[in-house]
Amino acid sequence: MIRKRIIFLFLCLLCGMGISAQEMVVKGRVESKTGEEIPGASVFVKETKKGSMTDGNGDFSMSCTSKSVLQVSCIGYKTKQVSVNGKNFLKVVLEEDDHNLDEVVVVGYGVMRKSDLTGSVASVNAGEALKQMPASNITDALQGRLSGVSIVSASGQPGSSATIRVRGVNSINADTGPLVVIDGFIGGSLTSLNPADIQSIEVLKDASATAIYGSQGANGVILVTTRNAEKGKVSVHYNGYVNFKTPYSLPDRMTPGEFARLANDYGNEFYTASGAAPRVFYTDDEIAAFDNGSAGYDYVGNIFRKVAIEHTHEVSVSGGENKTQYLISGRYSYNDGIVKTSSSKTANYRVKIDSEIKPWLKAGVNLWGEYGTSIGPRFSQYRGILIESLIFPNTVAPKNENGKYNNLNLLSSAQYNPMGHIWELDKDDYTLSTRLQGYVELTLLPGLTLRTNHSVTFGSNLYRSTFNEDSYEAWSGNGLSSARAQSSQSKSWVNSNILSYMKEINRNHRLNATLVFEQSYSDSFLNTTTAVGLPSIEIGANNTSLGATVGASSSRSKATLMSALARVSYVLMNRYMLTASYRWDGSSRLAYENRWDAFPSLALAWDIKQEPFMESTPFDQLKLRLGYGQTGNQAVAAYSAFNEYSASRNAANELLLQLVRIGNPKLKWEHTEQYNLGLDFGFFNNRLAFNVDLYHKLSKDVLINVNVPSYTGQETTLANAAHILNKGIEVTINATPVTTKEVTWNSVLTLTHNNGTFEKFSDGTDMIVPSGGYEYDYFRYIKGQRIGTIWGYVCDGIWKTDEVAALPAVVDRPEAGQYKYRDIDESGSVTTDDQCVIGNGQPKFNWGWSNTVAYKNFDFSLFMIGYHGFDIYNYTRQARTIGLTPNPEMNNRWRPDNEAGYIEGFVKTPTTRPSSLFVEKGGFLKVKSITVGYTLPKKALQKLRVNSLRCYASIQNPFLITKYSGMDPEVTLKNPLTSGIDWGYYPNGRNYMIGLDFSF
Amino acid sequence: MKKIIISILGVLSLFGCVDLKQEPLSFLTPENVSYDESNMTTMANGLYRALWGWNYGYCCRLFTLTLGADDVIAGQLSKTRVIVIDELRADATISELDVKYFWTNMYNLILNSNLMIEGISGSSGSFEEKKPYLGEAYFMRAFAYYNLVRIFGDVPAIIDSKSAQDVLGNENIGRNRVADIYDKIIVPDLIMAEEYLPEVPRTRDNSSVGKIAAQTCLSEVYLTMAGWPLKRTEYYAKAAEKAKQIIEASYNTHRLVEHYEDLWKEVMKSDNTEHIFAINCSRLNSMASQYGISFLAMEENGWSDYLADEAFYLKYPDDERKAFNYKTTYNRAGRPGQTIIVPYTQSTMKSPFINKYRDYGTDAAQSDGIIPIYRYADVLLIYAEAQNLANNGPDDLAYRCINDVRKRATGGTPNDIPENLSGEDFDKYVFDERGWEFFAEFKRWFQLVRREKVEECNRYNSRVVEAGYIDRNKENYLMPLPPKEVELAKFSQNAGY
Repeated sequence: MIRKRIIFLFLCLLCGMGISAQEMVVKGRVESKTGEEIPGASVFVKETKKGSMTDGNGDFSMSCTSKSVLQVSCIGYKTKQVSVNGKNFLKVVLEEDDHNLDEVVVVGYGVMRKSDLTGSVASVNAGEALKQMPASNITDALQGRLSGVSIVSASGQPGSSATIRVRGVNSINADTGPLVVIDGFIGGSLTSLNPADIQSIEVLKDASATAIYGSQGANGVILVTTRNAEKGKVSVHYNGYVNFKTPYSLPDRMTPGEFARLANDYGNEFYTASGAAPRVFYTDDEIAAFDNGSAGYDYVGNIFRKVAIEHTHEVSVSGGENKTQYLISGRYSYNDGIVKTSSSKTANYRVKIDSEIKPWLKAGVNLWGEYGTSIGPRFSQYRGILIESLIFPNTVAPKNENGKYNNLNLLSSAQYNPMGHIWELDKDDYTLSTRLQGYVELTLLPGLTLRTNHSVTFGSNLYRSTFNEDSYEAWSGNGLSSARAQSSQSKSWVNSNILSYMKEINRNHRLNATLVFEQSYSDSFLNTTTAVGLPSIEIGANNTSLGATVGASSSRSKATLMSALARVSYVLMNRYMLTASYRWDGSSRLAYENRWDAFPSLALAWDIKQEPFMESTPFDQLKLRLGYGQTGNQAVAAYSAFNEYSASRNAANELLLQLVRIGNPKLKWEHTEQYNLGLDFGFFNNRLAFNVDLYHKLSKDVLINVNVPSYTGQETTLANAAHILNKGIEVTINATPVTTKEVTWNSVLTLTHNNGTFEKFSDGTDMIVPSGGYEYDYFRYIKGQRIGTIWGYVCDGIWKTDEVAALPAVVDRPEAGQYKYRDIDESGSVTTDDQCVIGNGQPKFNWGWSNTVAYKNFDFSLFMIGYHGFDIYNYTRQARTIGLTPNPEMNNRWRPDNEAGYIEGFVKTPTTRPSSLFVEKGGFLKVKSITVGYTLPKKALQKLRVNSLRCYASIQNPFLITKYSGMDPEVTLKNPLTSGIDWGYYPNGRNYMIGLDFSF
Repeated sequence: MKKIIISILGVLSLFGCVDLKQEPLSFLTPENVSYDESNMTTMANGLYRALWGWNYGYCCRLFTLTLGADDVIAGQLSKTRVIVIDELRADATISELDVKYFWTNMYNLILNSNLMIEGISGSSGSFEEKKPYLGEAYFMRAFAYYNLVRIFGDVPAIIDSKSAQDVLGNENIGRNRVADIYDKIIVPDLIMAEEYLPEVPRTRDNSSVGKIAAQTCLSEVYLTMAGWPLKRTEYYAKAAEKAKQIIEASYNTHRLVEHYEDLWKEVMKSDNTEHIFAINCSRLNSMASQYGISFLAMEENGWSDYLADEAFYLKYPDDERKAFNYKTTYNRAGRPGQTIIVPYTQSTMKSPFINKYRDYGTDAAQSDGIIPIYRYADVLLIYAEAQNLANNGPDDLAYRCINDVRKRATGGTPNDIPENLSGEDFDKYVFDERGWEFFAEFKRWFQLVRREKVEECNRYNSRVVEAGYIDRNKENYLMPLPPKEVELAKFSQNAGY
């Protein structure tokens, strides 16, 4: 049957050539099946390759001959060929191509037909995602859209990056998230991109796909393709929005009057318990003043803004003739955070030119860059502002009568005033990165091309801060004013040479072979100068020679990588597919002897739907994929093999040297082996399609800072000591439940389950105490246990008076009102040996559900995510129960007259022990955005003389459904290794946005 | 085909090949540094900073770990504090950080000393030129182990930078016995340091060690070896002999300064008239001491980490030292414009405040000044104590030593102890004199331990007695090893913890 058609077509063509054709102008209109005009469809004459495009009404006009065959194509529709046959007007109806089976997908060092894919690749149309969730950072819009990919909005600080992990954590020391490849160039970050510049994003998840990136591919690979200029007349596009950001509801706190009474209760209960006279902190008059509002200060309320404003503007101009196209774009974003003083400003630019110089020679340049600033108050682990503002006595004014900060709490413990973190902040910074990229592509023979990519990146960074004598830094340090100016410069280049060969031998064999030779080089320099004892605070860090003492330090680091890659993919009869690759990487970061390693992969796929026996089944698509691959992680910091002396000064300001590191020349690559089994299937004309992937990923020789006995003079040493296993299943369901002429409803659901465990530790230990301090102390890496294991004491409530009375009268007998920790080893007393697993912060399951409904000119989208099956250690809550803090929960403390209290009473100074009392269920559902847009109808557009105009409004994070008691459960997932701890991180807020998008 | 190959090679040759071999660009390593005099000086300087640790390093942790002595207390109401060592409650509630930081501080100093010894020994150049620097490294290694055995007892004795084996050659590193550490490391290292170090210290002030510092340390080491736990009483004679050697040495220029308070002035801090060795601190140069606000009582808006022990204060003889060492009142705002001076007895802790380090800056968390390690008064009182105990009766020099110290304490007025005392009575005088003289100088605890007087001296303080931890079979003489170290290295913990 097929063969007959081919012969027929062939004969037609032959005949066509024989008959002389007449020159003519043909006009036409391209429409969809539902009768909508399709603007921007490309129409070209097959034999001459002359082309044109449909205008805003879907109309086109072009010269051809009466016998020409026109090829009409448009993204999202099936390509159609139409014979002119002498007609002057052609109506071309394009069929929608719902699932883009012949869509081309970027796979790294080349592209592939989507139908030929053997690996697990998730793909997102960035424009669509941003339409549903306008954002200044593309990662916000990607959240929940990619199965197997966890994207967590890690902080409310403007300009901060999201935490992205592909199929769990594979590395400890270099748990940096996936490799980002932008337009084929390795390196970069999603945050640094103007979202409007992005065309599509592909995530390579399984190792058969990522192995082509060898030593950099273990954490998954995100391929970003930026927008290309469209052929045709010059078009200008603008998108802008204003965003009003508010915090979620603030934590409950006592009024100053309530707290003053609590303080007096403390003075009574605590001091009496110690056998001393009760202490009165506040007199009745003072309490009355707190109650009537003439004294007291709401610290929590005062560190947050009522409303923070963000506004973003993007403009692009594109155009070009047949051979050469250009795109120029720019963006500016001003972004205040919900916490006072936090803000960021970002500007992006891009100039992109692509040209077909000769039929066999293509070249292009892409010049782009980013400028950004980001400042904010102290949210660090130690004395971060959120926890400090929650525990500082709100009966104490920020400053005393002399204008000095009150830096003591009621119990005379040193505590820097939270408002100082806001009011004394004097920092500025900027980051500037410039990328010069270019390529030349030679077609050597039909199907054989040689492409050379070269990218040079210049980065510079400046950070200035001045700390006056009232600042936290002076208070916690030497009491002197100081200043710090830090700048870094980096230059790096990547050069890839790609030889690729594509050959189709009749319809049964398709071969695609690629050879790559790639090198990269980076050189960075950091310079810091400091001044202590400033003669002028105003000058401060602008001139660090103005200081009683000045200091300087610099460091320089160079790293190189050399790689070779061979890849072949072969498709037999459109049904059986094979991809195999082999990459060698050599890195200067490792000791010279260990620098080379190899990373192979193999993947097979079977498109079952193409088999004759599948013809009468309900499946529209059925494909089985099987893949295996190895990837690595060059987690070793440069120079780790060397012993290192660091230089500093003594009291006489003389130079001195101290050893900071014993080198380990044995360090080698982290090596990940992954198996993937995938199944793609669809029904109802693919209106319901599923992608299911199962994987098993074992990362070996994971580098970890192993605690070594301190008698070595070191506390930790880096070693290839851990094996991590990630197993999981991920499902994407694409559905179009409704599609009529007026209403279309599209729905995408992604489901992800990943289980990451520590498989073993090479030196035979069963448990590793993570280095890092603070929140790391609440976690353990335990052999056979899941990552994110929270470790501590089991709290069995509070010792009641009669229980204590029944205990033997030993010196260490607990007092009534103290926490009762479980004596797990039954040693008779509670020691560090009584700690055990008290929770796990690694989500077992997460999902994202996006819905788009188009109704006439309105579009509506609803997008939500969920994370489930994990615990949160609510350290913020614990910190609020220690000592004397304005925390309403303290009313639930044990008292002699309230034996049922579950918070430790005011009987003894508590020690901060990790306790099961503060482990809460973390699961949450967040509606991330609800967006409504309205696109002006054609007629109105013509009056306005614009091509398109859409206005939209969006509410982001409108609803949070969770049992968790803290502000934002999402930020507790910011660090996958200490996933599920609330350490007073900068919370996300609720945003109200309006925007406008038009082009002319 | 040729064309293709040529174009491919052409493209590749445009960029050349990157070099995969790395060399340090911006730091020195023990391997690439040249061991000339100026570099050896910078390495030696590094040892003093390693000893200092950080502002909450040596100065802070040693002060905290020795709070069990009778001269100082932790400055917060007993129930509110984590630091309970001053009630001799060194048990599970002791702050892990104090033992951990002290331990890592000392082993880091040992590592840097070992590296320097290995590096210098393996380098070319004249031995004469290298000797003084080797001397400093040996001194520091000995001093670090001396601190470790006194705080922790048996500890691993490592003498190579790779920690490949202990001093006895065992590759399976365990806790070496105190006696072995004294015999194989501390004493031999100090003898080597004494031989190698110059008579005039490298810096010509108290900030680096010279021959006399090594001798002073050695004589104190002998004195300690004669007491608990080794109790080699024959070493009293050795201690006395070494101290006497210093006193009579032609190169000895040290003497007692005229007024006690002059020892504690910021402007005089490097002066080595009396201070033989002290860590010099400077908050401006990021090598600060911790005195400042930690030593202010809560009534002075301070952090009240350390206060004086009232029982000890009440026993303290009235002299210039007492007047200087204590602050006994604080100010309270009265009516506007009026300040009320309040005696310490009305303070929360009812204890006087430590005045000794207040010239180094008071209101900040970091301050200037020195961390005193050895001064000439040490030499005199070591001699007095050791000679008397060695011979069961003082000689004339012993009398002169203690009387010189007492005379200076009164500002130059002779204040001799009675003559013809029995050995036992003379020892009591010397024992107390050390307490007064070295008040809050990180020394009293070690004296109580080696003389096994921890229990006796703490009975004066009712708070300690009431806490009920005094008599613990000397288990409280040693601190617990850092728990994580015990876990990691599979050491046995000290008894009682």
